[in-house]
Amino acid sequence: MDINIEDILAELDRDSTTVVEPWSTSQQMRGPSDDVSTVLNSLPPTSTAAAAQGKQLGGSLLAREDYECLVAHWRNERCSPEILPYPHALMRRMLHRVQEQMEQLEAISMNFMDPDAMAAGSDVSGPANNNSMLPLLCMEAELERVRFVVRSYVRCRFAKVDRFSTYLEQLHGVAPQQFEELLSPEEIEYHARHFAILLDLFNNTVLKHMPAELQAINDTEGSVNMVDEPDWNRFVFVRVVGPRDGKLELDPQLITLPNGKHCYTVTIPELQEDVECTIGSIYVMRYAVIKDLLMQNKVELI
Amino acid sequence: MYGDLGNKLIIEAKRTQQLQSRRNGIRDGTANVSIPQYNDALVRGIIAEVEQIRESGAGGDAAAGQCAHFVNLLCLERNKRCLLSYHKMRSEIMDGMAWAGTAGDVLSGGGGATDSTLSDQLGNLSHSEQSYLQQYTDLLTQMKSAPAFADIDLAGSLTPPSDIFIDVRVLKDAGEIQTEYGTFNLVKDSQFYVRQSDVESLIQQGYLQKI
Amino acid sequence: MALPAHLSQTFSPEEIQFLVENEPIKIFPRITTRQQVKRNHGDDRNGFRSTTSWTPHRWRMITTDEAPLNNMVAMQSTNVALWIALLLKQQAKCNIIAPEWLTVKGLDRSIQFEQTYPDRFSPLPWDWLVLSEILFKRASDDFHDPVHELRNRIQDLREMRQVKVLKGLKYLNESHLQLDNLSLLEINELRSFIVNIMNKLRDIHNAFSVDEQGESEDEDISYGTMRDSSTNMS
Repeated sequence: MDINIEDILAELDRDSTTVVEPWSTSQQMRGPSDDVSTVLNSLPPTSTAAAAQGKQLGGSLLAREDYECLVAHWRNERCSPEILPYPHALMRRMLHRVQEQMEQLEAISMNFMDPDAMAAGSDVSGPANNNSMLPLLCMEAELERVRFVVRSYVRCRFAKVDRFSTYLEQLHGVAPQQFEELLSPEEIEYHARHFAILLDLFNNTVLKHMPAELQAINDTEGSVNMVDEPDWNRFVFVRVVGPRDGKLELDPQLITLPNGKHCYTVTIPELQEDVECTIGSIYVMRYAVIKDLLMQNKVELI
Repeated sequence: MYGDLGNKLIIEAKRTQQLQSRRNGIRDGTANVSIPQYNDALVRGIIAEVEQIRESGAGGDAAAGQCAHFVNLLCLERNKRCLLSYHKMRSEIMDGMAWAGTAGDVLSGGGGATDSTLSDQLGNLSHSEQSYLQQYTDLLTQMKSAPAFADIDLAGSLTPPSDIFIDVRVLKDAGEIQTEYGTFNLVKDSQFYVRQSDVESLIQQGYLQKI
Repeated sequence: MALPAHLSQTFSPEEIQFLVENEPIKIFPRITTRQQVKRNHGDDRNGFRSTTSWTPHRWRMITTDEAPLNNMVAMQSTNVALWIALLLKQQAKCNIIAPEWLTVKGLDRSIQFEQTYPDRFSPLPWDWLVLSEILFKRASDDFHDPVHELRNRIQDLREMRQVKVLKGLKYLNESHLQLDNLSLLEINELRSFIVNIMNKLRDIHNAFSVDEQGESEDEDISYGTMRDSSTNMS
């Protein structure tokens, strides 16, 4: 069979538009809240060649930004004492890309086994000496990297779901919509089922032997609160980034100091203290104090 | 005194936890394969104490009765917390087993395991715990094959990838190996550039050497 | 646990290296991937210009721009992610260009800064320590300056900054701390220590101020309680 890789790739390029949604490429719209609503970069609607080119470029640019966003989410999640909101749309896109890329790599590497294609290639003394392997190597390495980040991110969140099991259960009852936005559908299922089997274990070994008034797993009446809430006041390392679009003048929260630097002012309630957080600086602070700025992507956890 | 047994249980739990974290600090995959024996005697002892407190039936309107009732309540609460902590700690170790992939071997009584320590583990779990481990393992299996995570290999390595492809030298004749990049004839002293994951076992067995 | 304990409070050194490898770096490619003619269908399999410039398929990346990779021209500098640069370097397909701060001159300037300002850190990039190690190991032949001289200076900087950090620990308090220009590796080394100490200082401060007010709170701040010992929360 005479397969021309170029043809396959050209087709796939054209089909890649399923991944490119008309989201805004403005970085202001990304982040933990993932609230994308405006379209800044509309894709060129001209001839097919230009459209394919434009879509490809748009697709590549979006992929890079998405990846950077994913890594930022991963870092923030690892450093934060609470569970951060799940970036539903971002994850859907990334997982879709991973799946597509895996299929494509399979197709390409199958072609390496094709004797006709191999014969047509340049001098092949070993795969490593052939330039044609290079993109393949890179793409494989890249795939492993993305899979690692997603894996680590998901497992970090699973671990937090486990740690704050009872708290989440409480949240589920009190604010179900917030609960559903906070977690992915898979996390919701994992939480429900793990909570159930854990409760089974506790009931059978401990709780059924206790007097009736002490048989609850989420007792908040006793001397110690059984529901473990995240430690909102845990100290975290933050770096002040500033408004995502770089437009310092337009940010109402930003103050200009006499030395020309820009900063946000935050208040530590327990100490009645105000702190000026300059852009570009690194601080160690209580999480609750900077949480708002984190949600707006104006600071990052490091 | 009420609470002594609870203390004992917690000290044991703490010790186990410290041992676990020391093992986990090694990070070479040998962690999370062992759980100490379920301390059935101590747990039963505490439950018996709970029964005893309940039956002591302090109460009434007098201050002394109220005080005794209050103290009893605190003791009951403390015992409950001690028991729950112990079981929670053990459930976390079992979770680790499930994620590490050793749960299957443990549950089967170590039938197919190469490591004899795994086969002892089943005896260290109480009945409820065995049931928990089975259920949690099933849950993980389902999560891993969820459509969203099918490509991710959820239980895979949490060490970032480096050196996806490596240069290897063949130390002993090993015949042919088949990879997605082609067939390699492993003749002594030849060198190849291959995917690390494909040849990991051959390196461990001493057929190949990473350059 | 879903996330092993050693990863629950900090990043591992391998993870920090992973983050550093995502950063862009300048390279001189030794191959050309740019094609003058866009993909012709069917007829150009035998029409390639030279064996070194023909690639049967193109890069298609999902985490980074593929344009720089598909348009490489030998010896024309371009920016790619560090992990790609390292892969290409390993295949002898590129030379890596050392960043400006990683030269004898640049490092001398940084050392000068460290010596002039004993209470501040020089504005090195957040990945200076890891990046220099990686480049020394994998691209030592690409440096203009002799590598041992660069290594010495890096070592000096490392030690000077470590001394400063130790001195600065006396400023730990229950309010906040400012640590500009520390690299990620340096921060990660200190992370659990600083966070734990400041958490405890906060707790002590809370207990202290509660006593002053004379009210009793239900807050459970005693150490060695069930929660601390069993669920291992920080």
